[in-house]
Amino acid sequence: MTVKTMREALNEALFQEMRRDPGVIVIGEDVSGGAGGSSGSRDAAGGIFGVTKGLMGEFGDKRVIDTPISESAIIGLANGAALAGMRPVAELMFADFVGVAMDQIYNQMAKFRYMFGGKAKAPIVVRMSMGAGMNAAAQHSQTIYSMLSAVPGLKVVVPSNPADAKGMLAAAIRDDDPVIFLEHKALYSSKGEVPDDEYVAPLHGASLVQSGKDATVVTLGRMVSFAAKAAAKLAGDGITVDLIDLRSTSPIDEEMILESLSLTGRLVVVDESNPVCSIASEIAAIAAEKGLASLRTPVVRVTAPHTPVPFARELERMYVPGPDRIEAAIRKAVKGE
Amino acid sequence: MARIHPVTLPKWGLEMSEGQISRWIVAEGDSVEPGTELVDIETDKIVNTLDTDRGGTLRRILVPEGETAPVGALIAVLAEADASEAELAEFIASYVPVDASFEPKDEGRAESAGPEPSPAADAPADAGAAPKASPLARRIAEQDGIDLAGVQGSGWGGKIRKADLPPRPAALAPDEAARRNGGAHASPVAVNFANALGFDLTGLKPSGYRGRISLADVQAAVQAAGLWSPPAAAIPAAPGAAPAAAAAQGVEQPFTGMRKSIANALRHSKQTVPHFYTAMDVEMDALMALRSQFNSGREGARISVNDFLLRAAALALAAHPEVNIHVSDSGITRFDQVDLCVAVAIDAGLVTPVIRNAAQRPLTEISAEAGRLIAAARDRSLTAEDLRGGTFTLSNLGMYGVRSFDAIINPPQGAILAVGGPRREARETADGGLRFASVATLTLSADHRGIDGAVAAQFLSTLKARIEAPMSLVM
Amino acid sequence: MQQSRTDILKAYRQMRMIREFEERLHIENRSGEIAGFTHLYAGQEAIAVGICEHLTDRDYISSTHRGHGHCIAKGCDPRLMMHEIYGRADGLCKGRGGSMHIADIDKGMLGANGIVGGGPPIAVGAALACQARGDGSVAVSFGGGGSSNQGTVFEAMNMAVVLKLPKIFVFELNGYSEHTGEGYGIGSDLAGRTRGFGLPVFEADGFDYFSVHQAMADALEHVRAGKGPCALIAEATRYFGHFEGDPQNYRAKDEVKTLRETQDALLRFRRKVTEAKLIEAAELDAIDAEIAAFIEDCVASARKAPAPGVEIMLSDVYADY
Repeated sequence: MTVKTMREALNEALFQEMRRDPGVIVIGEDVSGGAGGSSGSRDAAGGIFGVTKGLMGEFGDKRVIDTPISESAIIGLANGAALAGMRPVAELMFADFVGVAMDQIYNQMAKFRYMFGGKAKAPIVVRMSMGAGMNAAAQHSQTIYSMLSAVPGLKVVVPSNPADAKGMLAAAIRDDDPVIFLEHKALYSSKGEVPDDEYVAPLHGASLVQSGKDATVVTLGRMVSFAAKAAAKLAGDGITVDLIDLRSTSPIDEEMILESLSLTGRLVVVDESNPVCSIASEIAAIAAEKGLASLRTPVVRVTAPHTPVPFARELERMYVPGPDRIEAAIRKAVKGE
Repeated sequence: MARIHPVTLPKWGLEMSEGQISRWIVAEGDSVEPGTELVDIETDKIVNTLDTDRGGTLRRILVPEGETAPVGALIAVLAEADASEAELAEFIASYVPVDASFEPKDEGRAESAGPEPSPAADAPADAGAAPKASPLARRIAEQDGIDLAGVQGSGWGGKIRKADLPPRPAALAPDEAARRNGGAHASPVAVNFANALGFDLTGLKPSGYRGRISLADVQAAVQAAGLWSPPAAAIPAAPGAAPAAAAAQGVEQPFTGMRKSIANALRHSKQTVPHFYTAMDVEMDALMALRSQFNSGREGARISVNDFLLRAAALALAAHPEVNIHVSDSGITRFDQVDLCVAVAIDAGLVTPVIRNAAQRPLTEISAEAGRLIAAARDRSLTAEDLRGGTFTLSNLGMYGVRSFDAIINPPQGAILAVGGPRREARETADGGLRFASVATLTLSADHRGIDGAVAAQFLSTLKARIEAPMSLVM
Repeated sequence: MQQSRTDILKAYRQMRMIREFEERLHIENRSGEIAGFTHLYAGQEAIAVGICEHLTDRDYISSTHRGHGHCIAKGCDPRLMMHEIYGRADGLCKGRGGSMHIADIDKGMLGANGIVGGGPPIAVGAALACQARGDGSVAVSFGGGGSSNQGTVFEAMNMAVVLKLPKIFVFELNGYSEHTGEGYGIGSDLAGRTRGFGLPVFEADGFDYFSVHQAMADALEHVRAGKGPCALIAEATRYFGHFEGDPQNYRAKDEVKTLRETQDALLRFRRKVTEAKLIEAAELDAIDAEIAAFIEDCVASARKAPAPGVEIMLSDVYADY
């Protein structure tokens, strides 16, 4: 175990899996970088966030493929290669670009296995950077997991820490279904203990970050660390929570949420998405449908507002749910006001 | 063999569900060839002409001009010339049109599939094959690996109940439990829960998400072990109910262990058993005088008033076996033997250890046994055997000055006797004068499913007679 | 390119199979037993067969919503296809795909596609795999003239050129893009535009099997020499509407009738091989009759086959369920 950044952890996972299985290829814009450039050097980028650095050097340009700016064609490339037996890891530079490639994702990739009578498989990973907090503004800051989790046939995962980033990326590559792998751009430099050797984590199933008795706090991605900060302050006042890191939004670990709720009686969901039809909505629905007997107070959702992501620092700080807002929401749930 | 062909209302386009016959171009009896136009049909989008791809004779037109038919309906019949009327009639009568409607059909559709289905939870045991046992007993037996064939059932018809099973292992210290549970493939919520109760998860059958031991699995197991009972359903706060200014702040102590069990059992009893109450006053003077005499002449432990009352109750039950019963949803079990529970208050709550075969044991033995049980209760050293079973309970709050009370029946027993403390009352004498007596109120709570008012009254009557003629208790 | 007698008979058989399959579906569609959309390929057989006769199971094709012809030409089982179109549990896709999503990955048929322009990017991906394998296998996408205007097709062409993939883009110009004349939507000229993207173009007469067959041979030579992708453009016609139920009001009254009489691919094939004394007319007649009976039987068995139940609806969404 060593302390590494999420970026390093992801990079390790890619090296690990590409060494293990020659069918794994990496496709995307600037995944290596420098092709056709005047410096003559390849691996000039290693991906816009550096996640794919060094891969070209070891695996060559037939397995690490720089593409033109053609998201539909990139995902189509992954789709066809997967149907023909490869295991592509495609990258969309920003999750927001999913709109440009949407048909190949939700009409094609997600539905091959089902439409084609179970004989086709699409073992694809689509990595995307997502999330707000770095002033990237409306078209480069969305979370996307709410929308894509609604599509049957896709799996959607959101690691919150470097160890999970490494383990879940490896698991996603080994999984035979299409996996949308969402990396929060503000977490690439976050640090955590990561196993040094070959490491595969469960792709699905939530994790219990801390346990307590007063409320169940369900969250994911960057919000996990904010919720943990809020929980630390509340502990000082004798309020303790079960803090659940969802890790996967499709499928959702309903059982753990309901188990915790049966013991605490109060549910707070923290989700960076816009509220309408969000993962927070889905969890609230699960609680209302299957956990009503457990609920002592109404479900509290902490989300972004129903607006695009604003640019100015002050505005974005109001947009993203932070530890103070989370703390207030938990207090509200516990007091029942 | 003649060939008969249906002419059906065609489906032109995705949305078409019906059409109106606009104009028949051919008539019954006309001869047609492949390509002959038969009929103009109108939909709300288009008018189109249906031609035939077969030759033959148009023998029947079934839907006339102006009428509407659904897609797939039989509108005419084409046949070779030699088809008989009978064959035609048969064909038409037995024709089943295609169902081309767009209505969804709900039958046979299951609920939406969820994520990786967890391994199927164990199906409940087939009660027909195995020895008769209550579902809870069955579940405990399965988890603990107990062979029900070797267990004697004390329930109705020999049914094995939880109480009949061998005693469960006691709880571990939480640290030890945590150590043992460290490697379990279980939901972390479930592990924490088990550790807090000192429960070892080893060997527990998982039925949770992705093959995990779930909280539900653990709760079932700890409940069976008697370490925990589910809390009463939480009452949700009314939305918008504004708390009063400066409301009292209490800190809730969650139910644990014994108090939880008691709470659950009492709630269940009060809510489901049809209690009715019969009270009778008894004069205690003779008994109290006899007791004094008895104790002054003896070495060793003193006999209490309560011991006398226990003996009296046991004898009354022996005389009225219809009160010495268990009542369940399915029936009444009458016992020959009187196993009398004495209610003992201790710090953590209320326990009811059992004096076995009380009707056959003399007062001194009952006193000794009661003494032993009460001490053990206060010591927290009662065994499962001490607590198992019981056919009737006596609860005495007289020592606290309580005049009377209505106790809650200890299920599955049929009744419970609540004894109040003696008070001095004036009584009219035979010659019109006054005398004072020590009077105590006895209240019998009985389960009306098994015991009627008259039976209760007769029991109390016998009891009263015994108490008021206390020498019979000593012998 | 010279073909053996066996090859020629097989080609005819395939074309007749497609024609009979589609003509029969045109009739059966009206009964209401076939749900949803059907798009028929009758009239374009020479293109599908002329191209696919060159391919094996290791080569890939992607198709369009008008995919029955490509599917048969690539070697998929017509009976299982018929069952699928009837929505039966034992259809090629277990009744889950229907006419627009017919596929058989084992035969290298990457699916008919309900999305115009959805196929070419996928076929480019398959071509990537072919290149990695290095065994000379290729990927072919079929598309109509209308699809050539989709952004995804431009991207796919460019991607194939940039990565120098063994990919052939086939454009079948059947005269129409849904209910609009094909030429209307193409801003410049298709061949010129395609060359502009960097793909050499091989053109063929889509009514003439032999012309298509030769053009494909040339295209394969280019691609297998590692020169990157190319395109094959052929003109033909479709006899039936864009979809079944389309009254074809955008077509002149006698257009279809005239084409059937003068240009029909099967008639031209017959004329060519009988005049060249390669095959006897009677042999072709025998094939016609055999296939007509076979298709009749496929329809009969499809009608009797069981409908899919709830367990088919709820499975194969993921690897686990």
